[in-house]
Amino acid sequence: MKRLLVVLTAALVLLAGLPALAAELTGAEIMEKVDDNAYFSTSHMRATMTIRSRNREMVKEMEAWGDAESKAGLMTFHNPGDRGTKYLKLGDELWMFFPNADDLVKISGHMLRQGMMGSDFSYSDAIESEKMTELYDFTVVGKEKLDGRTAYVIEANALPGTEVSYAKRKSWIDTERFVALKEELYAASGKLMKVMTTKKIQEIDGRYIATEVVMEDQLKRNSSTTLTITELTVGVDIPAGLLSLRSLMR
Amino acid sequence: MILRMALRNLGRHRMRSVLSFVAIALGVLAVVLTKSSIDGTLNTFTGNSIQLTSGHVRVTQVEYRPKERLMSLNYPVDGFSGEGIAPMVTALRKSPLTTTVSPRIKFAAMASKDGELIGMMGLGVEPEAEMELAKLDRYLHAGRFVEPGKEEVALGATLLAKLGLSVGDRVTLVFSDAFGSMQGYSFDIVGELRSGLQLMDSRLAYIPLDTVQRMLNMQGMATEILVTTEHDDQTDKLQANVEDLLAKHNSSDNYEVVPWYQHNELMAYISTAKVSYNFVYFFILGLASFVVINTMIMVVNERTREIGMLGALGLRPRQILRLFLIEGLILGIFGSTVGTVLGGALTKFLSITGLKMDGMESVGDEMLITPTIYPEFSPSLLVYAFVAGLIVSAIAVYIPARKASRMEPTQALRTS
Repeated sequence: MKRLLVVLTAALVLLAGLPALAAELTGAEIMEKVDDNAYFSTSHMRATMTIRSRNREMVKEMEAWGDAESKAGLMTFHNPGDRGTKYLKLGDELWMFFPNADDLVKISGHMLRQGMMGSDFSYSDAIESEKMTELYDFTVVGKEKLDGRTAYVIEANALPGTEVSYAKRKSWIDTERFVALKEELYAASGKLMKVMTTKKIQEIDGRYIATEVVMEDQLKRNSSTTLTITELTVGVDIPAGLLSLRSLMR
Repeated sequence: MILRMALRNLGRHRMRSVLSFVAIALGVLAVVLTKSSIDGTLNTFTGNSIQLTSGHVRVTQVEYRPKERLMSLNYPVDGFSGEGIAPMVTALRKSPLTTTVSPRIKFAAMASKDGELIGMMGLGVEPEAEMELAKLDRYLHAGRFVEPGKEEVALGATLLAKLGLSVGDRVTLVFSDAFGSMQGYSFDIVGELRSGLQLMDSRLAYIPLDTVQRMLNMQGMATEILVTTEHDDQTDKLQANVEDLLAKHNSSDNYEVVPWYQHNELMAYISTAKVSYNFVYFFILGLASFVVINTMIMVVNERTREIGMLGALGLRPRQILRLFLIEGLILGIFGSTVGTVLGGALTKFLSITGLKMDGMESVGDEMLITPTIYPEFSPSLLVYAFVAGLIVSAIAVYIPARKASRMEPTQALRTS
């Protein structure tokens, strides 16, 4: 009799849990919500990038304009060492303007995988503007607690034919705010390349935005970069002609 | 009397004697040419390596060498105790045995051309010191060398051609500074270097050191300091002097002083090669000596009756041995003399005109060899070849001569 009770109780618990399981989101649905949070039609932001390498620390101050529709963006550096340096992304191309150079410099191919300004973020990390759901196939592998928050653990594999910096990603997505709390980025070989950890999340214009993230390049020793967004405006009017090669030279 | 007999015997079979003589002469000539060319190539290599990459000794931070290929800026030389390189360079210049001291910064750079980036090795140099060290005058094909404080560059000819630029144009270089920040600067191209060396012609960009220090945020720093002395064989003393200087300023732990012959693995190979090539020279002479051995064996066989007669007349075996040895040595002396003189003259000529070697353009950067080889002419080379020719002909002639001396006169006389 006692045994029967146990079985019945277990069956009831399972039955009660079924609707909840049925309501679980798929990996793609979760990532769509993440994309919705992080994807702005137009934006303007100010940020600092603190690069720690061995026992040195450098701070870069920058300002960025972005237009997701035209896949264009402009980044201008304001810290003393890089003042006046500008990066312009036009589609898949990245153009650089240096105050002491006559010509613009175009960066492409493998160069885009180099550390941006010596940081743990690559140029690709900085300029990739496609939605994650356009690039990867997602599988939810479970849920975990991370720094007191519940997170979906999602594995992402690059869709065939897409050009991505990392063939595989493992992401911990906050179940309520749909922001990545942590990401492990892997090469096609399965080697762990980078680990990104979110340190601060803020609600801006009704969206949850990671405003402080730390990137650690696993191929560098004692190296990490903290990107802190100090100001973010979404849906801004971008000055006409700002995201063009001509304006870069000015 | 034996000498006269030897000369007469040589005259009896003039054709055979001439053949032996020519064989020795050609052997010695081949040795002179081969040795002078190989010595010329190896010495050019070591000379270029000393002048362009290693100095007689090179001071770097201890951790720099393993990261050198990456042209890392994280392990600079910044003086005895971080005060900047100026006092260290001054002290090195005052050090006995020192002839030149050249602080340099080696860094990776790229030039932008039509949206493409072309990689190169930037070299920040003190123009005067570097000109003296690398004797760059001889390579300056157009324009002039860079001057301190200016934003200008001297580039290799191949690199310039690849960029489609020439002296008087401007070029934009992109590079990472000491903090890893990407920087871009435009420079006036003031000089074109044409050396025949892959490294210099297709990869090097000389820029004034002070300009590079400013651009890379490396004020008062260098990645290496090259020090040279008058002669290569003073290297060990120079190394000891520099190490003493560093020890005196308590900076031995930070820096290492590497002599040119330990600069890279190729250098070690070259030292070994120089020794092993001696076997090659003797091998060449050995081949030539076969003709001499053959001739002398024929002579001994043909003159068996005569040898028996000489024995019967009272000539002792030792005297018979001496007779044949002298015949051989006469051939050796004449052959070696002619070979040495002709080889010497040809080497002298080629050491001035050079010997163009096709296909050498494709050798790697590390092989600091020009496509034109200048054989090295020296009196010691002539003495070496002459003596080697003589030794080999003496050995070659000894075997048949001994055979002749050991013949029994009665048995020899019976032989028809």
